[in-house]
Amino acid sequence: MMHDARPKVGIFGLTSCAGDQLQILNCEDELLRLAGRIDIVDWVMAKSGNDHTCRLDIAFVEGVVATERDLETLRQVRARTSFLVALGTCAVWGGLPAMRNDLPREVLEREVYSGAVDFLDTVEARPATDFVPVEYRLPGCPIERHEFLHLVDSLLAGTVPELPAVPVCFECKTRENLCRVIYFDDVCCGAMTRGGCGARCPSHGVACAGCRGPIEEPNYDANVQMFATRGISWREIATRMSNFSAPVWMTLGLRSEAHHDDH
Amino acid sequence: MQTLRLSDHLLPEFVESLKAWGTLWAPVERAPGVFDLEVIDDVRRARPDALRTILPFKKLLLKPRFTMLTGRLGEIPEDPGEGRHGPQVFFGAHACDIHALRILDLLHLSNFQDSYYLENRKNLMVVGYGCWPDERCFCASLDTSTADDGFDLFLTPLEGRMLVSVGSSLGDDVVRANPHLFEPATRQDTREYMERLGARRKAFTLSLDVTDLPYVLELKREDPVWREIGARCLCCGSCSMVCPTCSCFNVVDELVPQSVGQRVRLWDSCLFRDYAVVAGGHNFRADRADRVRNRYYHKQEAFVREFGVPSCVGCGRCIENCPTGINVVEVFGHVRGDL
Amino acid sequence: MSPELARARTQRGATRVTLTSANPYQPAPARIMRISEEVADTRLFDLRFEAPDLAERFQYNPGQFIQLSILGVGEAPFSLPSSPTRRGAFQLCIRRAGTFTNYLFDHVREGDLVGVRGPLGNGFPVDQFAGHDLLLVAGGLGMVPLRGLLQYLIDLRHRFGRVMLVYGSRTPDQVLFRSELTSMSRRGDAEITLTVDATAGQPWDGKVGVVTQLVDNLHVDVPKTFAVACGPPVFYQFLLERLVAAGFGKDRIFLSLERRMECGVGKCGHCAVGYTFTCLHGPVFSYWDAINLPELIYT
Repeated sequence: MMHDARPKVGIFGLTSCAGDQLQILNCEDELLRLAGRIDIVDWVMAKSGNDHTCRLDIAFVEGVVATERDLETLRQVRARTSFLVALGTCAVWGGLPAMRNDLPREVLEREVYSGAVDFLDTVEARPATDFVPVEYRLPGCPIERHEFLHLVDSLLAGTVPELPAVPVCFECKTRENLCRVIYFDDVCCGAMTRGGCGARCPSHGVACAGCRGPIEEPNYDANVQMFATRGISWREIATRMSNFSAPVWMTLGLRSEAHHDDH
Repeated sequence: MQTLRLSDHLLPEFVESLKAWGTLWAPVERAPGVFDLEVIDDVRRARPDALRTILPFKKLLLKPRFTMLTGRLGEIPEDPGEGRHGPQVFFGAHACDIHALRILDLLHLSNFQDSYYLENRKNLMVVGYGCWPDERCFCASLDTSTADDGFDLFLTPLEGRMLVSVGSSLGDDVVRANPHLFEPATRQDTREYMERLGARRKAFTLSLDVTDLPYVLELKREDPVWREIGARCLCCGSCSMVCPTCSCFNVVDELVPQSVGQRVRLWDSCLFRDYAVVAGGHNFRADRADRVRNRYYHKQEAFVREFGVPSCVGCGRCIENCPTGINVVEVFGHVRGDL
Repeated sequence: MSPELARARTQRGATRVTLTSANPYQPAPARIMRISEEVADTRLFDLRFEAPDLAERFQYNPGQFIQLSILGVGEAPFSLPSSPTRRGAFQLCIRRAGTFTNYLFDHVREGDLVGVRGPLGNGFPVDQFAGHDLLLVAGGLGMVPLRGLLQYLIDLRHRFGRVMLVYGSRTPDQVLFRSELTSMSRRGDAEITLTVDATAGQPWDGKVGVVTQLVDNLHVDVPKTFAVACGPPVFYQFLLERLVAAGFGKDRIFLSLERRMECGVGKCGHCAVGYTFTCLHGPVFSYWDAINLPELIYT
């Protein structure tokens, strides 16, 4: 990445809330510092005069593929860049948009838009990483600013940072929070979820929602069992877990359990 | 050992005086019935009687996260001093804590000395406080329910007063600096102390049979119990974090602006999946059950073979903090076939 | 502690507490004097400590390792493929395998400074080897620590009997130190047998097949010989028992093993297997140690 000229960078959003791009904007002073070292040539959300065709050294892509146009954008970006970063939990795991993949699109469209519109061309929401290879995955809903900055600084130096692979419980314990499961009988997703957030939610007295996506090989069964033995309903467990912690492939199983519970 | 007495009403003044010797840490009630170890200003907040803090004192010696070295990329790094804490006083150490400290010493000060640990250890004053077991304490089974040394001062509460054991020259310095607080112990003090000792011994309700445990474990390596616990364990690492003798750590390099590199040291747990992954991706303990077994074997088999004592002091923190209710005493009971 | 345990403890390699710094985590600056491409994606680095006294003082056993450090990028353990008989400089033979080595290959050049901590670990019991024949068996990158041992044995040739090496690679273009090994063999310094799993259409005048079979053909005087093996886990699977079947005592077969390491000085816990820290009591173990530490080689 060490050229005489500043590396060319593009930042793109697929179907998403643009919260990760907003986090980058929120870097403010740090962003100005970076602007001296990188050349952001294509970022529709933040600037005008974008070059939509040039080669890129680094590209960041936020969001899920939920339309044909998303997929086209993603493939174009992939073709333009040598280093692609999946930015945020949607791009890495599917995140919230993938939450209702268990329902057919026409049902969702009818429920949300009363069926009165004809411009929708949505397909099942899937993470960008399902469609193209990426060089780096930066999870978070939204991403952590310091992790984004570390990544850029590291890329400029020719390497990549090692993100924490440990569960949220690690950071939660080191902050000496009262465990949301043990003391409050919450459906806390901390033990299934990848840390790096500093256990922000439990530190503010709220159970972990799992927004950074699952750790490798989370023990879903033992987590579900743990919540159930505390008297929490299957429906509640399924709802909380399928937000982020048990993405796409787990959702169906959990929901059928919840369904079973209702009868 | 010099033995003195200290009246209860002088305790706050005594604790106040400890501030002269370093940053004063003591257990504080964080939520009803839940304690953590904090730096205290108002000595009335100190709760030396608290049985367990969420994290043990090990955080005073090696913080959960600190920068060991820092420097510009490609240049020779320096120690920024982040891991060196100056003089600290730990008020409210229990016998199990003091034994845990010895275990950490064995690990960190043998062979290569960990210079970060060594400096903080040298700077740590330990003021013990006599505790009373609850249903999760099993230190009596591990010979860690009393401490003859390893502290600077040790206070044992008696009716209206404390019996004070002076365990080191530094402890004696504290006494000499505050002569008006202490009186010589009387025979009545000693008698009451002995009575307390006897009654306390009988107060334990939990026990762990450690007879030949290292050998028993060797025989039970393939026991189905490890699969069963592996299926229940979340591998959240809570037990490792709260364990007073768990001290595994990870080292991660970070690049911050202007190519300044930091080598950061973080607590780690052998239960985390990547713990034994080597470059190239092979995981020597990919199976959850293997990782669970490894933790128990490390405590009660490997450490005994390496250092002559188990690296468990029976404090009960792992029992209190396991979200799925895995209980170390029950685990070893199952292994032995008692349950 | 039982007498058996006490004995087992003392049999394990004594740790040499001669570090590059008083803070065991502090690397010392070393300059990269030369980089050469050994085989594809594998490079040989010549290094020398920047401080002249350290460069001279740096002594190690064959089989010991160092931690190579680039602050901000990382640190990783590497065996020393060079021999302590050649003072002043040392070598590392490194294959590209992850973030750290990617940086090393893509951004570190001759003349650059890196950090080094060491020597670490126990190394091969070369004093015990004196007066004996040596059978070295290497698989793939396992040649790296054995090359250091081989150089050592040849530099102090009069102290040892026969020196035999059987070295298996995947294909001819993967053979490390090929020309050096060939000239060693030609000079008669050592009996060297090279083998590959497959020639892959490349020119090859060595053997084809696994090392295990070739060991049988060497006519080793077993009671006079120590065996030293180093390779990936699958490599050990048949080899070790074949050596035992040939009459080797399990305490006369030595292995050099790999584990994840962070600290290298027996603190961080990552390389612990049972009561053993691979970084402190290893990486060299006898086969008997390995039998008694079930996780040591496999899983």
